[in-house]
Amino acid sequence: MAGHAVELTVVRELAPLIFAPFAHLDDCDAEPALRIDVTTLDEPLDDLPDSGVVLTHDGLIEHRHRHSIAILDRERGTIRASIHNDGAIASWHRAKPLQVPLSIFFADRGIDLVHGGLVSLRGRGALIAGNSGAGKSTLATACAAAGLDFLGDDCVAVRGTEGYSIFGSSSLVDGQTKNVIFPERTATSTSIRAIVLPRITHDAHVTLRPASAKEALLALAPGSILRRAVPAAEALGRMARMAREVSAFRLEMGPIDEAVARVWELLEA
Amino acid sequence: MSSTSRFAARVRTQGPMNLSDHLEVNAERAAGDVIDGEAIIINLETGVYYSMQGIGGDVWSMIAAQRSFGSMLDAIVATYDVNADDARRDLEAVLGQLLDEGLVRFAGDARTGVSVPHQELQQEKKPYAAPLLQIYRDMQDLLALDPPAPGMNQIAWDRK
Repeated sequence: MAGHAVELTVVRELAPLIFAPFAHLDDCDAEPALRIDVTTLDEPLDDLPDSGVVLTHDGLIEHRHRHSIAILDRERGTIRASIHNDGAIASWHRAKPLQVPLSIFFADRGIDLVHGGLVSLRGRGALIAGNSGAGKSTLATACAAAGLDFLGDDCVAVRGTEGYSIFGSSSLVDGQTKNVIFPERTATSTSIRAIVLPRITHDAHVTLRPASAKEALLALAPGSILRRAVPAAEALGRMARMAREVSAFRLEMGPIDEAVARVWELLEA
Repeated sequence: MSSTSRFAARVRTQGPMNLSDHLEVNAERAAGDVIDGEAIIINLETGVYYSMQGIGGDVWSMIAAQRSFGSMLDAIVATYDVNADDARRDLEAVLGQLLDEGLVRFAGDARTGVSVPHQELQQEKKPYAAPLLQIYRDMQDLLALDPPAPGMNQIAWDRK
């Protein structure tokens, strides 16, 4: 996971739920930098907001959500989680479990879990940035369906200009429901060569034009910093450095097939 | 009334800032960086974010370096093609906005102003564009619908 060996131990009844988003990651024999232990939570927790709450105590960080409790021990490199699976777990929780403690674990190591999608062609990646509703998941999953490698749709890890997949899953809105999907063609890391800023326009054609580093940072940073557990100033500085180094493009999305073709061309260039 | 709002009120009601005044980034509430010569600033409490155009990148960098108001003015007049009166008016205006938005605050302890480097005075002057704060409130709406987990801002990051 983002260049770190992680040991994931899950009770049998939760294994399909928890392993699925991480199934695309490579096996390795290295000493784990992080050990995650997932057991069953007998009853759901009441009276918690959808996003859960974060508590800090005794050097530990605890994320309590209606269906889960996850406790990160930063010193020991462990996450102890218990999850209640009654079939009503939110789609984002199913698609991206343990996002809060993982975000903190990686932030401590200079790796940011940013609010963006990531697709790749032969190791050359396009980071897809924008606010909710911009079309990140739509574009990332369409790229994957067309043959690009999928690394994430709205939460991926970034260190410098290297991008890493944490969750090989996407939660796509279809009408009133969000469906969790697992693209078949995945990759675990890529070199970020372009930042794509999509916007759904419903125009007859797609337009792709260069964007400034400032535009890229404005599309990437607020969502990544305000919605994630990250050290704000340091993370903003890291994202600014990446935005200076990587070319950015605005993608006005009309037909999705044409939008995918433009991303493909961008990565082949 | 907090020191920030007291100072903001002073800027609005009592006119000119003192040359020895110092501001600093309100680090608990704001994060900023400079890119393409502009400052990008995020209000971590409200979800509002900003770009400071014109010479805004220089202004933000000087605030981050805790240069005095007078030192900032000297640097701007030495670097850009602008007279002292216009520079002072524009700088006071944008600093007042930054104070109002809670992004910077008055640094209460007296410091010695950082002197303008000699080479800064020798440069050919650059075209001047007044620092202007552009405000983006779209994330505020998204955060109202789907707020981050309470308590996230209590996480300590300065541990080693």
